[in-house]
Amino acid sequence: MTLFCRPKDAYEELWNGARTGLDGVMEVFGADEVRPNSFVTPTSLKAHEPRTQACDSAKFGHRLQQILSHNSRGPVYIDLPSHSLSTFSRTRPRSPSRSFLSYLSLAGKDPGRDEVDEVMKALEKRDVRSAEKEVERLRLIKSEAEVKVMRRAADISADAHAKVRD
Amino acid sequence: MRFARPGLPESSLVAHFSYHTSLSGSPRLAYVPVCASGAQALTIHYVENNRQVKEGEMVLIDAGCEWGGYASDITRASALRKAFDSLRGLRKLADSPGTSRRTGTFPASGTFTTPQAHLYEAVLRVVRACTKRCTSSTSWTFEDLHRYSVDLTRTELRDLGFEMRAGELERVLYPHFVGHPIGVDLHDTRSYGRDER
Repeated sequence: MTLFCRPKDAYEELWNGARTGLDGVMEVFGADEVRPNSFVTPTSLKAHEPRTQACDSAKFGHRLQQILSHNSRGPVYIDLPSHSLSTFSRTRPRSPSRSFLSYLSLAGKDPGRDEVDEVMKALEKRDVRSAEKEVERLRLIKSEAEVKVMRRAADISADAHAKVRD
Repeated sequence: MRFARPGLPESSLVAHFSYHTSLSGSPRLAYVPVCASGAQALTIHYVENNRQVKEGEMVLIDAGCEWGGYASDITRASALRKAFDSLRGLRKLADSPGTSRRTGTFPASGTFTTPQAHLYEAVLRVVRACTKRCTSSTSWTFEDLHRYSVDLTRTELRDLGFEMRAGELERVLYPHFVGHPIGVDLHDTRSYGRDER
């Protein structure tokens, strides 16, 4: 498994809380390979570290193609935020749009047109499905533990309602 | 003693609700609450919450807290009167054994005028009947449950003298559907269809 995620960033974390970081993610989620998906805030970099080294988004398309050709059969699960829900059937979304890679390219460096075309081409040949739908299917039926938590939340609200009215 | 009383702004009722949920460990409300007094309750998503509640009015509160990462969502309405004795008739309804506050059986604040009491009881009967049907053995879709609630409500209203043409009830009074799945998201989950089992 290859994970693209946010690197540690002292400045960001000062404001918004600690991040697991690339090494942490590898350890916690057991990924085989971890790559940064965004730039680190300039104040966090040492003077000699060029900015471009901190981000691997541009390599995403390349990596995706590698993975796709390596696993040439089977469905590809992708969720595309640019699509409205009504265009999604339950398992088979329409062909992915150009904004897909731009979305993932949090670095702000837009992937080259060729790269986007290559990835889109590779995906169009495949059975592309929505991962979100599969997760939602699981979320719809609550576990016993979830029901307990939801009952507690509801009880707290019910008591508060009563305190306003009684 | 009841918090809500004539002259208070709607937002203070919301703040009181929020205060009590926070004492129980809720870090935040699950959504922006509606506190609609009098005619404001005719606006489904009334969130201005800046009117003073008035003597003799009904007050509708749609508020729910987040706890343990999960949302709750409860809407209730009650009458606002200075006198808060003589609830006996309605208290009997609410305090019968086996009922719980969460499922909508709750003591009302203040005394109701007769029309208010009739409508209140009518809605309460529909809520209870629908709640009874929410079991896996019933195996209803949301559409089934909604249809059932519409039929019951039309009958209740007819008994009170309101004749509604087909579709009129839903269009005028009940466009908001019977309910929605809830969980980590307030409307959980996006892709769920109302006609699914």
